[in-house]
Amino acid sequence: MHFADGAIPADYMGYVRRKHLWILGGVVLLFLLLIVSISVGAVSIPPYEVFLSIVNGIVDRIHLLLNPGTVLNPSSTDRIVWNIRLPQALAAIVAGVGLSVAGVAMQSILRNPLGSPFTLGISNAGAFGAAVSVIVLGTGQMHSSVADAVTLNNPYVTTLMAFIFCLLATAVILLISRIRGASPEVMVLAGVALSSLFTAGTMFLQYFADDTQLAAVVFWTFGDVGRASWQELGIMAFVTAAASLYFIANRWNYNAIDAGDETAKGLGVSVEAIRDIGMVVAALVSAVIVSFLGVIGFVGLVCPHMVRRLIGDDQRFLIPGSCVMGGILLLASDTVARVIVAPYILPVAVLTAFLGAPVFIYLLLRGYRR
Amino acid sequence: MILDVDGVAFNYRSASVIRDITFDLSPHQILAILGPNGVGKTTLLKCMNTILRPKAGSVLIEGADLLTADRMEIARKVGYVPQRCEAARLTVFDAVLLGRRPHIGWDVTDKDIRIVEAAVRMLHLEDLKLRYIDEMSGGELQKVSIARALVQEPRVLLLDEPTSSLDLKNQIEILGIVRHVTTEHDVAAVMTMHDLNMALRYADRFILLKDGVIHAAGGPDVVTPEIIEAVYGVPVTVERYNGYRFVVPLEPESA
Repeated sequence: MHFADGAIPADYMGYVRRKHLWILGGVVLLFLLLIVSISVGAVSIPPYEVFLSIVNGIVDRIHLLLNPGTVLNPSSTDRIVWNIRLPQALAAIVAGVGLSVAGVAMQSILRNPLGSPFTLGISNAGAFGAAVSVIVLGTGQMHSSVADAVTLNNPYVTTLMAFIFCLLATAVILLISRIRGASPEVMVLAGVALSSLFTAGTMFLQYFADDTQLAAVVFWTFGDVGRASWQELGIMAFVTAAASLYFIANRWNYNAIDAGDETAKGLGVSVEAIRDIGMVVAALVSAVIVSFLGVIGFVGLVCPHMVRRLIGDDQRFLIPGSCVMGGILLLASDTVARVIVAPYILPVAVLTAFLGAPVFIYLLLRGYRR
Repeated sequence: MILDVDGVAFNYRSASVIRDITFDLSPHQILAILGPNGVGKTTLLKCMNTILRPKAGSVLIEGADLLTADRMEIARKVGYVPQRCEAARLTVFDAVLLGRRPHIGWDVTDKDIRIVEAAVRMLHLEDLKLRYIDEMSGGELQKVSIARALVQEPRVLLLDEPTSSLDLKNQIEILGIVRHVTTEHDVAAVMTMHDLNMALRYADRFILLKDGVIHAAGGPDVVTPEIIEAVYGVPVTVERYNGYRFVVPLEPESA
């Protein structure tokens, strides 16, 4: 059939522009928050100097890249910014973006508002992997500085084990969904079952662990964005960016799936394939983040819902919006975690729920924004 | 012929649902698929755009075999309106825009927006354009669903019980739209229906299914008391009023 061309509706275009402005506003807020986050801490640095240090640092590094052999002479401010606070703040943003985008994708794939990296047991599988590494393979150790009471003496083995178990959990769920035809209920229920299984496994191992090992496992489980080195940050950023791009590219497919499987198939979407691939991508990004940083709950579940309340369910806005919101929530949580009981630094996982839950409950009570 | 269905069969595991379904349809025609609950009306409809893959037979649209085409290709030829559509928090305009999915590359173009605007006007949804569909009534939602299928620019429109949950005014409005679309454009429509009188009023062709096979097929004159009783197991009389046929069920005792 053929439609006589209609006009471009100004009211609708205005509506789309407003949604884009919300997201842009979020990006600006995230940038301001980044500066604030870096400026506060044991040594406070004025925001303006933070900004200068970041800009100069980038210029210096480009210079170093073009003229190898140049000796940089960073000030103490530059060292604090570039060696400690910037990687931590960026890790918070990357992890927030990654967990949040994995959450929003899983909520659509599983047709379940409780979808998040936790729902499928990925986080608990990672924790179990770390426990196996520390307790069975003996990679954990404690030492006695106040700021960083526990170190893992072979962090790479622990990270690798966590990652392997995250992927194992995903593989099992995919296998089950292959047999049962990628139905969302089956995926959710299998995830819940696996999650309990891995939690029980971790408890079992902990029961037989000595104090040192127990402390190391518990320490690992508290997700902490201060752990990441620049290299690890690079890996996480790459995976997160690739996953986010994949989900954004599939935004129309997710919108179609949200309208019901049959509608989506009628619109030409290969629903089962989109589900399976989306699951793998979401699991991969969660696995990378969990392996490097530990378990950080709540972000993946709640950020997408916060964004839904603010700008609706349209995946065109929801996916990028969730990315930005994830970055904001985790960075804000980490900033508060670093200063709230100074000189002690709390792991961010403790703060995400403290900060996120009241905001989320407020948004639930208020309902949707008109 | 715009639609050619030949020997289509479908079964879930070993239980045969439909078999030997053969019919064809010309542009501007509306076909009503009738029959009791569970006889396979919806299954047949889903076989016609391969949401369910037929186990035998072929479905041709303008001579092109659907069973060898990919989903996107099918979606550009067949628009499907399911019985129920999930209402996410999406505006009416965006929900209709979703129908352009089979034509969208990376992003929507001005052309897509113009087509959606035209469809929104055609279904008198322009005042609701920016309303969220999770706040709409069943009738409005059904119109959105139909608008979505129309902007796919299909050759064949499949509607699964389009009027089952609607009041009288909405039933007439929805079926009027289907009638209008099929007469004005080179489109054929296939609908499953329970309401025999609405079917007689709006459809040109009829298929009555019994036990998974076509019991009777043809124009309005196939809807006779004998056939209705054979298919539904209910004695009826068929009356005429203003040129339309009406099926009136009889009390079982009086039969």
